[in-house]
Amino acid sequence: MSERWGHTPAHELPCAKEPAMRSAVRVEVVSLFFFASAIAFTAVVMGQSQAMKTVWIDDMLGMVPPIAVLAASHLRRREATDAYRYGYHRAVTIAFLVAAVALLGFGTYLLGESLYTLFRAERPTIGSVTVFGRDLWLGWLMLAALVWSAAPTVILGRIKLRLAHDLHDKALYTDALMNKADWMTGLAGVLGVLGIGVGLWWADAAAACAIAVDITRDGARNLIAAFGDLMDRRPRDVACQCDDPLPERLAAAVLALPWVRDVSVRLREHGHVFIGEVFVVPVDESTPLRRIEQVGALARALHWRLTDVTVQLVPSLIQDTCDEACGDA
Amino acid sequence: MLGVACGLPRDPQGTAAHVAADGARVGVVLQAPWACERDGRLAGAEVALLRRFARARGIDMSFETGGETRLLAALQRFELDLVIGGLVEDNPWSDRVGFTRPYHEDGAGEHVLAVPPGENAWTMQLEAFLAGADLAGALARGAAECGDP
Repeated sequence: MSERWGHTPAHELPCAKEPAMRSAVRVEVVSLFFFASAIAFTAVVMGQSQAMKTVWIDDMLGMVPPIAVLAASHLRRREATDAYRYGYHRAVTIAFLVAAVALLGFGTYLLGESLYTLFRAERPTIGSVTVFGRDLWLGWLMLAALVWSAAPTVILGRIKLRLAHDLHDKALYTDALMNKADWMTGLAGVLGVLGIGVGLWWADAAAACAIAVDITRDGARNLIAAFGDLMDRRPRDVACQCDDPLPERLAAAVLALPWVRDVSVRLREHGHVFIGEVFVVPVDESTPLRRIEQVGALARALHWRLTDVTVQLVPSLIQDTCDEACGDA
Repeated sequence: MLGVACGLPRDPQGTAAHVAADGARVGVVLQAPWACERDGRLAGAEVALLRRFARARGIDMSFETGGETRLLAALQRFELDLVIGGLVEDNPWSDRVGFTRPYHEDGAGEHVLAVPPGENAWTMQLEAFLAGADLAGALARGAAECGDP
């Protein structure tokens, strides 16, 4: 395989990880079909219930992360072009920023609307429907829709979580977390509808408030994550939410080379992989080309995520700046 | 089956129980052929339907005529138990009072009866009756009594 300098490689996953990626794509396609069915079901039975309306919008927003993951799985295969030399990994981060803003906006809107409904003491009227020639309270169908939209999502969330750990895929991880938390949305909706059933008119709007708070919190969390990505924050591990130890491990490995006096590593995340610079201070000036190649090979051997690391030999880690020339005028 | 067993849904304001005990207070918007006054007596398709509902359940009914806005406002305050008179589902009051599910559709829209907001047991009783009612007979009678507008 040959790579061109100055172009970020497109095929970033090692072959061993490809089956996991294919499973992730499959799970996301299943998610999309499933969400579409839940949205249709909820739309038919939601009636005047504020809680059902909130669940409905939650389900629609839930389609955004799977779409982002699927889009990313296509984009990552795309070669870097002359115009986009870092490749297309960042497209996913943009998708995430948009999704986060949508979640935050809808969450705030729904929270306001639910509080207003509660405050105005608007009572949801939920009548009956005829199903197979039998008159049935619409509330029972709402409960069915809530269970339909929550239960499989929780299972899908668990599968996605495992794959996200394996692939170091942030989009998949966020999607998994949102899915896993869906049982709370479902439970709040169930309590709201049952509350209406036993004659507590406020239960519906109260449940809607709880769900709206959850949507808003998802939005805020995603926004912080997207902000960190776009600001080139140092890499974080998807699982533990702590700083990834890889930059330190790389620095330690380079420092262990006999000709290295000092080293500084700066990495940022691009999709699944890390991109960044290694600044190396050599003990002397012999064989610079071979040394640069040695550090590059070392990085690649250390971890599959270190595919695009630029190595620079520097005389010292502290650069002289022109303080005297610019300031003190 | 489960719903019948648990007695769900219930009314927050207890309208169904109150109607069974004290009779229903019905607001009537005069609109032929759904409701009209004839020889000093209320007539029309929806009036006829309701009289049949009251007879079947053995409940009293007191009628009060008036403008749609005044009657629906009283319904919202739980001062009436039902408002009839050719109401259709596409109504600006739909988020302040409850409607039964549509029981008939014509050029004016999908016809409903208006109920107090959130009184779901009462709403279901009316819907169950409307689903099994002789609608064609009531409409023919309403047209004959009120005269086709």
